[in-house]
Amino acid sequence: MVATVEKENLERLVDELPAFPQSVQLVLNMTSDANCDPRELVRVVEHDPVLTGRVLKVVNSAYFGLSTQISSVKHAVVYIGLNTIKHLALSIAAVGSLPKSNNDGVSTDSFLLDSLAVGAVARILASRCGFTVRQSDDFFVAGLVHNIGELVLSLNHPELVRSVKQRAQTESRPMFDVEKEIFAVTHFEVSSMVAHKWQMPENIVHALRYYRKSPPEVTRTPMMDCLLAAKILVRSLDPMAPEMRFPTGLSQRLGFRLDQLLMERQHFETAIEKVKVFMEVA
Amino acid sequence: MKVTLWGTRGSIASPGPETVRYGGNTTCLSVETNSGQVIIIDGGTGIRKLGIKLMGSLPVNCDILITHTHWDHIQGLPFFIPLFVPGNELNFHGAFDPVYNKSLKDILAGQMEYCYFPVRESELNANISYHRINDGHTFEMGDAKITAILMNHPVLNYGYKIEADGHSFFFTGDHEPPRNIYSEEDEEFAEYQSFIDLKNEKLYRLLENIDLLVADSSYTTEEYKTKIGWGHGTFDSSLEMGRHVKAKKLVFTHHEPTRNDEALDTIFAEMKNKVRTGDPEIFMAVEGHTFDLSADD
Repeated sequence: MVATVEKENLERLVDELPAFPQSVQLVLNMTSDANCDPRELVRVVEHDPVLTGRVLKVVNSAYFGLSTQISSVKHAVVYIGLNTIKHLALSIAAVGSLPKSNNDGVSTDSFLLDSLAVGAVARILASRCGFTVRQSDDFFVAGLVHNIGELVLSLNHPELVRSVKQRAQTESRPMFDVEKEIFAVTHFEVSSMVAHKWQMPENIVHALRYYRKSPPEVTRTPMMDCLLAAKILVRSLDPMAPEMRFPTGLSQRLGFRLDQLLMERQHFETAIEKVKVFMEVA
Repeated sequence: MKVTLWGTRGSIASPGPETVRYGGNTTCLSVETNSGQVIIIDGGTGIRKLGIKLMGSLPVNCDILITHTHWDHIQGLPFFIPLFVPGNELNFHGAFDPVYNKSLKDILAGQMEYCYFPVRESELNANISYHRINDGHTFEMGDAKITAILMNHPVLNYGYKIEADGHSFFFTGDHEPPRNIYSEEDEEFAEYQSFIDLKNEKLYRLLENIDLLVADSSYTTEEYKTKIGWGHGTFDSSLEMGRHVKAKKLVFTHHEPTRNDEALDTIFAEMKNKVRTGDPEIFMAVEGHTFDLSADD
């Protein structure tokens, strides 16, 4: 089974990964208008993990030979120009879009909503931890793509992903444990591989791999902690989701507790609401 | 170091009695170092005449830097005679197209395909090589040092700084100073502006105290209001850039095809009135004019 997620195979899958249906439609509409609002174009690209990843992949590629990697769509726009970003987005949108729902039963909308919500909350937490606006944007990008590995796996091995989920539920084990048995790799590792393939900065690649669970030899970074906290917080704000707690040490490292954050839930709910509004408009 | 302007017009060649003084050919410049080495920038229609001159001394060995591949910067290349002559050696340098994944060779060969031109790129007899340029990359060409920097245009456009014989020269190619797409009241404004500032700082550092700056000055400030995002600068933005980097000489180029000699005279007179003490000496680009930087020593 390990062979199904071999690196070369993964590279091809990532190269062929289409964008989300909402953004594909918006990009196609916007790019047919020579005078489209550049702010809207940036907003659409920023709200799609695939468009963001593939745009960053181009700007960070050897074609430009940058000494420091770019992790923000806005920075990419200033760096290579709006029209080039517009045509890149169009070239990605033109190949099609992700299906409305995956074969493993997860709708593309819920996946995107979770990605955007975790990104938005991670950005707020980063800012609370004292990171600058520009640095906090990296946390948003990390949140945006934090689950991309699960999407890649479910698109290409829907039956196996379904059985992973069933077994995890039946045996009350974390999904990544079962994934390791079935795929020999976890979706965290796949997310990290995808981010690497998209030439995202190393701190993001590293955080995606270890934010949920890190071995003792890996030093936890604020990005890992903010991602994990964001994930838990987003779940906690969803009345339908199972209850989650901050693991030991997380509150101490971040300097705030989950119950404190939940007392300010309105702040986070507003951020998530904005994401929902974007998706509805889209 | 001598810099000659072989084409000063933007967008499309505009020959005729009304453009005879400033010229009607599209962008092409050449740099000749004191040792006789020739570096060409862009292959607009102006390159045809340069090719005839170079054929006077065979073999032709030179480098051609392409700022970007819009028509007005490459359409003269199929008529550049040195490309057809065996024994000549021509090295092209330019950007890779990341949108269509095309190399410079693919793009230049494209305009010589069967339906556009009778001779295909593969039938050219000179030894031709193609080299990809990276942003900020500095490399040597004979006794000249070249640095490429990404500018701002609706396609990837590299500006080139050439240093030789103790002098420096920079050509912007087509360039619109980047603008903030957000309004000051937008929460994204400051962050976006910080990226623009970074880009400008990098450019200004490279251009500091440049001897000769040739800059895209397609529009007047008034005209620019309806051309935002088209990828071109104004006379005022070029003066501002020249002033900021303390350029010694500033040349306004990429003349609008609709602008006749008289209109350029009028604009130049207005620009002269805007020049302050310490500003660069300004010039309107004139086809065929040579700036001999060594003569200033």
